[in-house]
Amino acid sequence: MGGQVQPKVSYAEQSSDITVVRLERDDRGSALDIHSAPELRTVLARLVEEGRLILVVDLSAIDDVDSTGLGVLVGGLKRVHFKGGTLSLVVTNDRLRAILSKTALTKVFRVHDDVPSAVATLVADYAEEGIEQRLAAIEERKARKRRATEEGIMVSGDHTYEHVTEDITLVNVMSRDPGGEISVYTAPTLRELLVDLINQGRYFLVVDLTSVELLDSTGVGVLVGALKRLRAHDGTIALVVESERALKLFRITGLTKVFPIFATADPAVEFLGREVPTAHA
Amino acid sequence: MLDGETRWRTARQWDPVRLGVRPAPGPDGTADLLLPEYLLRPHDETLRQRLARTAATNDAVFVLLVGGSASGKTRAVYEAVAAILPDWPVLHPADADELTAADVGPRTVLWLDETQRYLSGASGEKAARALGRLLDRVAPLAVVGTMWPEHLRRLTENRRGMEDESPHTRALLTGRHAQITVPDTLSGDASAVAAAAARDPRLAAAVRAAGPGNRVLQHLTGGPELVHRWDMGPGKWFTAPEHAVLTAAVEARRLGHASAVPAGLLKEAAAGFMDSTARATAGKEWFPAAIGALTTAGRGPAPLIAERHEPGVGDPDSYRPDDYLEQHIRRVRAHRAPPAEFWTGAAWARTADDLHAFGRAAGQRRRYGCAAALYEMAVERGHGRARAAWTVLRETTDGWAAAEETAATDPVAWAALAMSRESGGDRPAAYDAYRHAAGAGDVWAWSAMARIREEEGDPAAADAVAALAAAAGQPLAWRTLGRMRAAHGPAAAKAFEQAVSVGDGWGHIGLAQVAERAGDLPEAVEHATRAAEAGVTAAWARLVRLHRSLGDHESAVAAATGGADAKNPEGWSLLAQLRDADGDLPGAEAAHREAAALGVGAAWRELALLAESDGDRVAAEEAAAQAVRTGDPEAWTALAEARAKRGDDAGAAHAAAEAARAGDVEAWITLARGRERAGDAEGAERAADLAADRGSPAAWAALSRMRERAGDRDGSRRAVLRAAALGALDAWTALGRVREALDDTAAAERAYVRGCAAGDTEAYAALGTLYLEQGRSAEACAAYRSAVDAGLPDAWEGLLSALAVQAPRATSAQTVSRLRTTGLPAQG
Repeated sequence: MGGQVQPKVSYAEQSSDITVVRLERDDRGSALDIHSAPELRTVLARLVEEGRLILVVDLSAIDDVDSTGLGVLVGGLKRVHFKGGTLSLVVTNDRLRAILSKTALTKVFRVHDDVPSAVATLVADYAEEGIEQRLAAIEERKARKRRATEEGIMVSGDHTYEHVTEDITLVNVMSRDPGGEISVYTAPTLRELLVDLINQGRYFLVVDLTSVELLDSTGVGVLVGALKRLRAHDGTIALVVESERALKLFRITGLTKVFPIFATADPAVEFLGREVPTAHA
Repeated sequence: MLDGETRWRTARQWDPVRLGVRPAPGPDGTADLLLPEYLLRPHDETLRQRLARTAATNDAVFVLLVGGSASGKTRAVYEAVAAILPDWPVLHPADADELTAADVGPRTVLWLDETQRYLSGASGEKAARALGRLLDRVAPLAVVGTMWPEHLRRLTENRRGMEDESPHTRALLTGRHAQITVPDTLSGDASAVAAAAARDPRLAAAVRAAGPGNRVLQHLTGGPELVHRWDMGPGKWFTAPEHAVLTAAVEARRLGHASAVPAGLLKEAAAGFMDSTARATAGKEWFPAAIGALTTAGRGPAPLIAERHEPGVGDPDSYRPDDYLEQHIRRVRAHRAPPAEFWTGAAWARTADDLHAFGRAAGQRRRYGCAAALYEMAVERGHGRARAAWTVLRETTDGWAAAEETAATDPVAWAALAMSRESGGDRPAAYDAYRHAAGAGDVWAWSAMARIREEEGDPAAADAVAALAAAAGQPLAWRTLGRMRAAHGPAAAKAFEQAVSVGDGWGHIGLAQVAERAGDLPEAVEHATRAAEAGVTAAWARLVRLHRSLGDHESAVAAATGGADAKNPEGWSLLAQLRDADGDLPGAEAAHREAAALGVGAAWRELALLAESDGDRVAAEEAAAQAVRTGDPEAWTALAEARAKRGDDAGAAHAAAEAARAGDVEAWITLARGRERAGDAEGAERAADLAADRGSPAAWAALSRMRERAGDRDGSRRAVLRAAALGALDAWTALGRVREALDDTAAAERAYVRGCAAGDTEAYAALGTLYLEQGRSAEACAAYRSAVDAGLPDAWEGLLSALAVQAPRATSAQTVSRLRTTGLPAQG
């Protein structure tokens, strides 16, 4: 490895909470790759151990990144995220930006053009919602999932489900997205769960969208696709939508025309109960 | 019966026109030419592979080509059968009865062009059953059919509030066939089209006429000429009565008449489509004269096709409009309600189903009076669920007493009334209706009553209801209460115990859940075991999880096996997931394989993803291919998503192509969006084109919205035009909503207006909202009224609010409240 060009990693504390990690460039250009990434991983791990949870990784000297490098960045983000912190990137190189965008990581990382703007944004963000509050929110999400398991409800990916009768299953749709969005990014897990259930012979599904704030066209596509599959088995779907706002949204996307919609789960179960051809419970 | 000579003809020996292939008239109108050169499109490959496999594996198959009018479905089947099964005889029954009676041997092609003709109504149900039997017993056998998506939807629709009167037809059309979508454009290989056009002047003329929309095939077969003649209006090419009869026929089909339209209906309804002068000058024999002219093929196809639905041979009694013309008239009249005469004529509808469909169409358009009359007739003709619709309607128009009288002793009607009252917020009245429903035999009404009492905070009354229900042999209400009391363990357990005490195995499931929540897993195991013993197969998966939580892996496997023995594969799928989460990948794979062996097609998707994440692409693709063989292309879609997420565009494209080949274009749409997001506009358009080739314009529509959001006006416009040309009626409306969200109301308005012109009825409602917000109440009224006339129930409240704010009419508040109960007058 002697001849390898390796970026030097250095870091400086910007304020009492924020730490900027800078990758240095040397004269032959520089890449965050299988050779250089481990050093960054070590530095990030040490910072987190020391309780430095709000990090900016300054990649302005870097002009290429491979999958190991991306892995270290994502791993670093996960590490701080668990503890209520975050990790932003500073990227100036177009190629790097393109790679991040292509791998959809721009959706995961906050990407800035320079260090001051990254720091300013983080200061503002954490003034609004501090580490403790974020930690509490994370704990709450974990607890919700744990509660679901303890309540004897099945968990699949982000969502939970419960068989109510021999034919009817109640699916509770959760969104991993903080905005409660079922979109291009979150829809596949829902599709997979619904397909799994249909494959297992569950043909009458109550899909509870109470925790969902927004459903984009991909999300709508998942529900309509599931309905198509169910019709092949004489099955169907009823939706549970609680808020007026969400209902209005579903009306616009045309869902109200395709699916019977209920405000709570029980009437939806009763409705499907009448649709089951054999009507046995 | 089929005579001996036609019996043994192969495809090439048949006259393709007799098999339903449309002839292409010459540019100067000459008929009797050879068929134009056939241009292969992607679906041809799928179709041919399917037929070849049938011949090779001695299999029986039902291939259904689904696509819009004149999209080349029948021609595709003709060319495929001639190429792949050249020596198989082609049997072409004339109608459902002939199909039912047909004596079909192995190595035969059964030709069911416009398959809905064989599968509608009561004889259709018989035919569907016969067809199902043939597919079971005769092999090799190729049943080939064609259908519009609308018909497929109608025949497979699980209509709410309606009894399933055609289980065999639906089973056939939703399950036992290979469905191939045919796009109604000829956009496959542009250079091949150009080359063929250079050889055939008919094709050249059609390509010229079709323009950027690529609707070459329709132009080829003369449809456009018909449309042009109808568009001229009454008293031009068509006389006023002819024009009216034609319009009435399409209106009847648009508003729900499933089969060809009875003459009586046409005659009565047509009067509504003529003005006062035309009605006075039409002459005594106007109707037979109009029918005679319309059913005669001139240089192109006849605008109206005569059929006979009465038994025996004789004069025609029903008429079906040409499909190309029908699609056009449907689009241009989409936002209009028919005249009053139409609703009176609707009484002539052929079946109770048709009457019910007309009733629903009238109700959706707020023609309450007409709807009530039609529902009543449907009830008289024995329709299973018309009474429910009629009851709910009467509650609005005539109050609760009339509704209850209408419900009589029908449990479905009482339950519908209860649900409507409950969603309207009147709990006591809802409870009362549920009580009647329960008395009339509706099992689920007991649960609803118990639930309402519990929601009212009166658990003692809820218990009393559940006890009554249990005494009547229905444990469901106890289970409902158990579920509602889940937060309070002992109370929940009590309710579930009551369910158990009347022999309900699901009560044990509830008890297991209570125990699990209380942290007593051994107790939960005990209850779940009892549930399993009582025949609740879902209990096995629960046992799998409980045993695993207790660290007893051996028992978990035993429970999964127990579930499999009871034909419930969920335990294995769950075990696979749990092992996966614990990092036991080989174990997860083994469990998925068990599930796959039990027929869980989705297990192949999981195996594909497992192999992919392990870096074994070959194994991943093998598993995805296996999933397709079980009938599900979803594994390829998931693989495409996983690869796109990793940035492996080439691999994702390969998976998307495989998914599309197997019938799922979703992956191309996802890929188009992903590429656009990554800044690869050209790649995005290529993916969108591939989705379009497989019949879906959704990717182009999505691109138009993404570009609009990104501020790329030109790109957005190009994409929406492309989507609209490919047949996405709603592309403009969806774009308008994006523009509205971006606060560009002027541009949004323009988009909605384009949407209206494209025939998307939703655009009228969107326009109404936009106008109302801007205070343009007169325009809002007009837009909402069109939306109501188009049958959009959600637009009704919009119309009422627009009417209410319309200054300075002092009576409008009164008008609004009157309209609320009586609906609109029949005359639009």
